[in-house]
Amino acid sequence: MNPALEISNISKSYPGKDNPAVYGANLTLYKGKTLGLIGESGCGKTTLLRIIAGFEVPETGTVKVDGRTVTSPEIFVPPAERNVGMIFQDLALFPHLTVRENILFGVKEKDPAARDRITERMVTLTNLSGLENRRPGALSGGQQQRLALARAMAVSPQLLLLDEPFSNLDVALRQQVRGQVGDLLKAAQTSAVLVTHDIDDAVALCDTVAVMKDGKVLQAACFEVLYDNPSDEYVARLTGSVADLTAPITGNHTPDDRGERCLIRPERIRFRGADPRLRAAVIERNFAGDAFMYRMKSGEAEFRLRTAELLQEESEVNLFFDEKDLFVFGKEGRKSKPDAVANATIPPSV
Amino acid sequence: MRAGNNTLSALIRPRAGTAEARPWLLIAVILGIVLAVPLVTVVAKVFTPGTPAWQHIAQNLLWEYTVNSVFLCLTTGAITLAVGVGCAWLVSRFRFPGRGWLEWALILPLALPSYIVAYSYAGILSFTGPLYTLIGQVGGREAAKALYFDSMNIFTLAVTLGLVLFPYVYLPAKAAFQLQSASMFEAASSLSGKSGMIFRRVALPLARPAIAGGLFLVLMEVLNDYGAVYYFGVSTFTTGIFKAWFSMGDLEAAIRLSAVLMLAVGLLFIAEKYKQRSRFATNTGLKKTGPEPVKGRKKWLYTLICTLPFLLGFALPFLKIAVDAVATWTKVSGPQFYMVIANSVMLAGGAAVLIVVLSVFFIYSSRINRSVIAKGVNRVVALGYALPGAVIAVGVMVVGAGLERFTEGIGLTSGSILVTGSVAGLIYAYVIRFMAVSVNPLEGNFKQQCAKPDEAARSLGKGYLFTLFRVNIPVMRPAILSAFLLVFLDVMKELPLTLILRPFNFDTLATTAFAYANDEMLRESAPASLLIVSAGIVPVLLIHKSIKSL
Repeated sequence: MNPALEISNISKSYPGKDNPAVYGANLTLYKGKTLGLIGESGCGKTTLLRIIAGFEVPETGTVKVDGRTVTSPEIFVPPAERNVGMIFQDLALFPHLTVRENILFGVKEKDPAARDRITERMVTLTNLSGLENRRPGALSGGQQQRLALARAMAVSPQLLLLDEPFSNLDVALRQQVRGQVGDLLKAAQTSAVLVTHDIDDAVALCDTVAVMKDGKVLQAACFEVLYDNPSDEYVARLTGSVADLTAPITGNHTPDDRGERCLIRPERIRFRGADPRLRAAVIERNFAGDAFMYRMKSGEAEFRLRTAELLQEESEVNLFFDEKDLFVFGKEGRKSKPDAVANATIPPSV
Repeated sequence: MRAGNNTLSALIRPRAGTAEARPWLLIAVILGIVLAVPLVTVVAKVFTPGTPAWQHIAQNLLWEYTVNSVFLCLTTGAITLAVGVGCAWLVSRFRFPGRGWLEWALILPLALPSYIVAYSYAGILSFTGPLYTLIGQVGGREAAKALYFDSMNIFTLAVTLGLVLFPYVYLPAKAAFQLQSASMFEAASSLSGKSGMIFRRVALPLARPAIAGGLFLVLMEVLNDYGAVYYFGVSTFTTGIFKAWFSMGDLEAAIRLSAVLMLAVGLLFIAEKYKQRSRFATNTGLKKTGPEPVKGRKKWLYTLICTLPFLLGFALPFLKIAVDAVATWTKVSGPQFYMVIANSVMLAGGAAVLIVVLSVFFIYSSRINRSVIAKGVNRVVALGYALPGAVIAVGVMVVGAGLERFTEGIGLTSGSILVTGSVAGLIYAYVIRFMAVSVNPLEGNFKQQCAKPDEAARSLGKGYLFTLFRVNIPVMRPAILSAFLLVFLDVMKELPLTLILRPFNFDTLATTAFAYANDEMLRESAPASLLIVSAGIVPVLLIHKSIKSL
């Protein structure tokens, strides 16, 4: 069976920009699954999505949708002929058309009965029944979102592209609509690519998440792998809270030539046990809702730690963690252990 | 009763203003009444019994006026829609050779008054004109004779008006297309790749309110036109008003015709406002559409499509005027012609200064009072632009005649002319007609630029007058200058109103061009036309610059 989407070695630069918007991107998405493209603004995720949609032409690489090459140095299939549906950040609903007319905009079927059936199926699927004759301006934010989804899915696309679809919603509505969209994608068994800068969107909706930075795909995997085994410091920080133990472990307060960083997920640190890895003083404690935010000092090195453990200010505590839980990153990427170990409390095994 | 009084006082009482602001409101209301009186008079006179001249017009001429006016409106409207919307779509959506300069060159026909273009085309298309002379030289006199057609008909007139008025549609349509969200076009193109369908089903319906607004202005210009329709021998309401006054000497009949025309304009106005209500909240928050490159022969086709209206609507008539002006300059120029130039500059300058000063006053009064009445005054004083010049002229004449009777009655004057046939009356009429040209853009600029500095000055204890002169006017100087130039151009171009109200033996560039053309001395009308057009190009380029900076 062909993957729903295959991207090979895609690169794209814009005139006047020093760095490429996308560089050497390789990704595969299997049918019925959802791929998340995540990263900060300007990392190239929207450009990559637009290349898949056919709104941008890359300098190198190929894009295949359901095994058919739609973009390559020799081939370019126009957006309307790719069988790809797209949901835009601003939804791009046609304000002068009704819900029904929006849904049917791209439908090529001419038979009125068939068109009615498509409308019926889409409004039922997206819970817009009874609103067929309303214009988008008369719909709530969530209904507009679902209409955008219905319009994109009405043409039965092989692939659905979602460009930051929840970014204009407030927090409460965002969670609600995200759940609805997830249910719809599952119900329709549609393969989808979601561009977002919100990790919660990716966690809730995506089977695979590709983290992008400076035009490059740093790592693409399921979220558990990204969280537990990040290949890059940026991935580690993006996918969850980390305590930066670089200074206490290596003695380097700023990254040196080796550029080493030692990070650990806070929940991997324990405060009881045998063979402490670090001994630290609690300088300051701040309440942060579900946890406390601590400023700690080990030797001359300061670090911050977010944990649910209640520690007393001005007390000294022992920190215990497993060596395998430490993320060590050098200039060349993930390392098994740091080159330099400064603190005497760190056992030689580290 | 008490509740009623409260409501009335709430209307009059400034919400945010203070006692210091009330004299401004009082003066604004008085000035507003002075400017509205001629228009109210025209409406009021309709209810008086008709004169024999009116009976004659109603029975024999009214139908012809109506048919011709409607035909001109429909045909010119259709041409301006096709040319204006077509060029706006191509220029805003596609990148093709010459697009950069065509974007502003297509506005240039605005600098040409329609009557001057009509004279120019009458000259070009006459048998002795350059077109048939060229055909004669190339193919022989018989070929020229065979190809010749009499261009002095209503259809040629409609085409001529369409060629010169299409920028009224082009400008708002282009702005509307450019403001439409890029993602909406991308959504449409991902769902349906046909650009014709995207234009028909997405871009055009969304731009419709803006296009309707432009079309409304075109129809106003068509109904206002006197010079071109008179020269082409087409009887419309405007020529009817002139005939009733100058040939039949019957002001009552002229007023009734004006009232019918006002009714037509009123209906158009209501229809346009109704259309505005159906304006959709379009997605304009994110990326705007940019032009897409066009490949192959298509790009040259687009260049040709957009160049033709510029050539026919501006370059060709301008060239004809320039060539004729050079040929006849020495014959026409002289002390009398220089006096005509001085008259035009004085009238246009005087009216523009007065209009801009009054505009600033009305807007500032409305800002510091913030009452319904203050806002209402601003709307009322801007109404005149929606009315043909001939109607306003008739209204001013009625008011003038009433004023003269009153001053004679109390022994203040004896038969002297206060308003009608005086420069003062002419400027009064210009103020009514062109106040909107200044008030509307300045009001927007005041809102945009003066709110914070205004509040800062007031919070520092400065009075309204000090704030106006030391803060608002300096901040608004570029906008005020641009409003002055726009009004100056409009007054320079104005013909029907000037013809009716000008003092005896008093000529402007517009009336001089008209007089020469009327005496079948088209080439001699060119120097006056050239000066009007040259003066007009500056404000047109200003419009382009201000749109670009948005």
